[in-house]
Amino acid sequence: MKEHITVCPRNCYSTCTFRVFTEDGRVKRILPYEGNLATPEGPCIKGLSYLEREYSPERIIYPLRRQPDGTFSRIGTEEALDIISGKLLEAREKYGPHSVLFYKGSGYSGLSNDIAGNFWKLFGGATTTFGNLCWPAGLEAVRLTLGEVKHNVPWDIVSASMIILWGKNSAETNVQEMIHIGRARENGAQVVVIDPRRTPTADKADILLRPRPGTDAALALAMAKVIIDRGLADAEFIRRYVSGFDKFTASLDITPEKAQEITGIPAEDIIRLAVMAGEAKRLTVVAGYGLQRYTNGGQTIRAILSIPIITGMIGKPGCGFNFANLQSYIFDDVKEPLSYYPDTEADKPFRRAISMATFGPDFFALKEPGIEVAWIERGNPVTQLPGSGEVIRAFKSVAFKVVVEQFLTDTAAMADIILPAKGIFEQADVVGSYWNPYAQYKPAVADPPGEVMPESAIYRRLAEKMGMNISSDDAIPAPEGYEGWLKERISHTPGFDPEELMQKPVIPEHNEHPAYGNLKFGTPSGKIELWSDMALKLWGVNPLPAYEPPDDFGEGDLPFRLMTPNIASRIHSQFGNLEVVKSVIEKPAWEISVADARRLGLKSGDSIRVFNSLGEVKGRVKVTSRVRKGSLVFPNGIWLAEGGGVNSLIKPAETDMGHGAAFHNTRVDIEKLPA
Amino acid sequence: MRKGFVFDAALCVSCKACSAACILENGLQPGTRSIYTWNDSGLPLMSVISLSLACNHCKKPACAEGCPAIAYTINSDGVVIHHADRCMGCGYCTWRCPYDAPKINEARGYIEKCHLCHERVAEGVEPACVTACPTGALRFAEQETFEPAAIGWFPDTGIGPSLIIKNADRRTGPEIIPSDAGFSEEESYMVSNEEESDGIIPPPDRMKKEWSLMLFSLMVVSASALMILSALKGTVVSALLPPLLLAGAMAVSVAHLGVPAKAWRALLNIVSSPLSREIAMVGILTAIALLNLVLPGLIPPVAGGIAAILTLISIDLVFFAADRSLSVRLHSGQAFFSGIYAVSWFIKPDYIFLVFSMLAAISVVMRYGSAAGSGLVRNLYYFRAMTLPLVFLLLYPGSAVTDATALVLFLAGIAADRVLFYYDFNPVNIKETISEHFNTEYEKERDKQRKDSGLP
Repeated sequence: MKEHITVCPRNCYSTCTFRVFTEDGRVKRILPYEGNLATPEGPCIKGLSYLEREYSPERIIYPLRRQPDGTFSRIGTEEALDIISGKLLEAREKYGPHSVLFYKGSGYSGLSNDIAGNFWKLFGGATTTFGNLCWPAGLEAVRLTLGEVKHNVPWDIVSASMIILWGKNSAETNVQEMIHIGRARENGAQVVVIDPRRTPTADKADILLRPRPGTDAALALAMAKVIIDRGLADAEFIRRYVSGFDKFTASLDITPEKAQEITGIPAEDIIRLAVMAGEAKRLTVVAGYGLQRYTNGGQTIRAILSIPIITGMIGKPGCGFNFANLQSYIFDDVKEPLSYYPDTEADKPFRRAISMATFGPDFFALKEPGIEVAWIERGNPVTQLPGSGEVIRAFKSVAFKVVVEQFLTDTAAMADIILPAKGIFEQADVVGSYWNPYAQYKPAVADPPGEVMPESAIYRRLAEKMGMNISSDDAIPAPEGYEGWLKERISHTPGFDPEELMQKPVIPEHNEHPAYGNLKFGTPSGKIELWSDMALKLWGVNPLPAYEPPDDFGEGDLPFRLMTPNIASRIHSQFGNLEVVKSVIEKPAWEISVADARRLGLKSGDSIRVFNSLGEVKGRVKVTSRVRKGSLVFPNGIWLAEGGGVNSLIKPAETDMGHGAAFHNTRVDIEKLPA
Repeated sequence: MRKGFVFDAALCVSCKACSAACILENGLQPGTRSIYTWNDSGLPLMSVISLSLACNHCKKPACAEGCPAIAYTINSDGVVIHHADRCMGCGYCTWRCPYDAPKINEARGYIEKCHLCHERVAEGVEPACVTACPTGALRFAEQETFEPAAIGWFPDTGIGPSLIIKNADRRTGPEIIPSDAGFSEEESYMVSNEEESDGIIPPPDRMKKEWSLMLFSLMVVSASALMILSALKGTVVSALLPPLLLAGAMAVSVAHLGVPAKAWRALLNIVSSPLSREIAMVGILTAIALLNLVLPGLIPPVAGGIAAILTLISIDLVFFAADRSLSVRLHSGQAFFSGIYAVSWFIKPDYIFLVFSMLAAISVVMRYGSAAGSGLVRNLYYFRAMTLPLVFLLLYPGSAVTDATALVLFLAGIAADRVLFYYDFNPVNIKETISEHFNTEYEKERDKQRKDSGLP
């Protein structure tokens, strides 16, 4: 067997490096790669399941065309591309390039994705999306405050004396972080989890605080007040590196008692935690992404971030605020979150964009031209976008849809033509991570099955058919020139040796450790900005971190706050369809607290209807002490075909900053169904 | 050097990667490596404990010792390997193993079990579950000895598991604030009490095949009783019934196998398998019974009687080897006692029957706990208990009708006791051990906290 070092390119913190063994062009074995210090024990269940995923009988390996009866049948690649190029040319001819929607999700990351953008530019532009479903509110909050989005290397947390995992469920969404947290605990660190749920991560903590969902900013600001009032703030650090501290101090009107009313956490415990944080020698605060998927999400992150700032825990080992670490995103011209901003004037001739968070309503507002052709890749928007009902109507209204996919997802099932998507071992690429510091090379090690072509090759063939100007190979390389194109791209990137990168994961030279160690901040003032003029200017929010109750969208009378977290067995809508995953993971159910279940006479296994003004979903209930009173929990990403569809209850709405999606503001009611 | 596993519960987050890797590597059924989670529903006060367990490749593997078909081998590294092509699917190893490692694959008919990826290990690559663990909770170990046993409460029936478990004794979970996030404080104690079953691993689906085994043993016990009676009377009381019953029993036992075509393998391990010995004894008894029918007088009745007694004992030894508890050894539903108790009805002096009835009554009273079982078990228990005095009452009038009714009730009572034996028979099982251990811990903690907070 041949051995290769590769990387998992999914939308996941861990971005694990692993060793893969091949024989006759087939992947046979996956083993850990100890050289990546963030993921030394190898990938999770999802990474392991590539052994099934790449060779699953369910995998789409030939182009498929929808038949009048709704089923799909195989067609030749040439025929499929002829039909697609014909439709694209026709739409551009009749209605202009903006009549084509190019929708990309986050299902696969890599430098090769640039080729898609190049294609659509050469096409003359397209309608695209801006914003992001996941994390932009928090990214923007960090950028506004610290100037850049980065943090210490993951294994640095081992030297923290106190770790606050604020809304982060590492055990399920970033399992390798538990290695480092475990070592920190062995070294004597106190681990505090703040989460309305008792997650598997909380099971490993010393203290679990369970605030009401969406109230984290109130908790954080009350803690900040206690820290300052008790003289536990780092005055010297603040004087030298922080701007707006006095205004921040003056604005703090949430006392622990008031925070108790808002969050449900007793004032005495808020004080105790604040003093612990204020007195901690080395404090690392790790914030998750769920708590910023609210209409107050960006401000929540700013409020939490104020704690490591006022305690002087920025720019030192064992300390910091870990939200995202974009230091390995070295190939992007425009980094997140700026790349999530809508079309600038300069984009205008090419790009027309609608917000991902409000895709449904924005889609129907598109006029002259409307959308005639849709091209969807790396994503499953029918499952993942908020307001599924409207999203499905939107896609139904599009006359011709191409979906590039590996499996028959909810979105692929709506396609007119499905083109098979490449597997991760079938094309070389370069992948960054938003958690570990490595840039990683992913070699092509396996033969694609059937007629699978990488997207770059699909675009090349289409461009040729459509007579685009591809005389230079820069924009859309031919398949045989692809690896050369990739090397060329790498060689132009400063900070590391391209040859080394092709051998193993590399930490770019410019990776800063500790992050912000030079205590220079890329903000307008050059200091850490507790007060941010830009926050007001760009987003119309309070220039200071402040607590606003999460918007209830007029449904405040509905008794349950819906949470749709990620779970260990899937990345959003990926991986849950695999047999090996299904065979070891319990079928997802609607989780409800013991108190609510008793009140409603519900027992585990009962059928319920979950509803609000947007729609309804039916499913089975699971009674558990892991869920807070007043919360209802169902994982996101479960396909409609798998009994999911939870996003049909979620109102399309943006977060307060960054153009994120406010998934968790949703309120619902439930009703027991007859057995 | 012995090979085995080291598991650190502090690092396990129940991600199931080990279990998935085992399936992907070996094509074995899910559960070959299992993650047992206690308090999965997160009841307050207590920690959540997950244990990833497969085969512990014991020093003295009970599965291999008990296997009648010699389907297990032990390699030079002490790895216990099950060979599907030698397995007849009797499931006896599933009773013998306290760790629930061998599992019947219902679709394939035979047993499957972790083989420590021994071929991979020979290549120098650690087992799939170990390399898969993303937190390093599960490790592969090669060491001279794995003794003393991992943790105090872990079942070790003297077979020497090659397993070390760390950090599985942390009783309390995180401090949860507010304590009423799920329910009011007072209510929490009630909830914990009432809905305890939520947090507990359900007991194993014990002995799905028991109906066929019960039928088998009832038929063998009946035939044996007839042959013992013949020996005591010095003449064959029935030539026809014993061979019929025994042939039926053999047919039932072959039919219950996962792979009936390999039934012949049952006799291969007379040396160490009580099950092989039992099958051999039933075979000998059947031969004698047939000879009694075909060539009457060839075998003296006393020889048949002795063979019948040995057969009954051999049946009981099959069970005693799997469940060493006193309650099973003293159970009036065991085969030997059932057989001679049935015989006692028909022989003089009467006090023999009286003594046996007393012994049965003592056993039944001692097993009063069965009355708390599920519907069927409870009803059966009450029926069995009721037959004891009822038989005597019915004997009192001395009429033919009441006597006959008494006999029917008497035999039905014995049969009921034999059925109850299967319910009371309870080999050591890891799932129950885990839930019993942590439930006890939980109750202690709950009572302590209840006391501390001044609640009644």
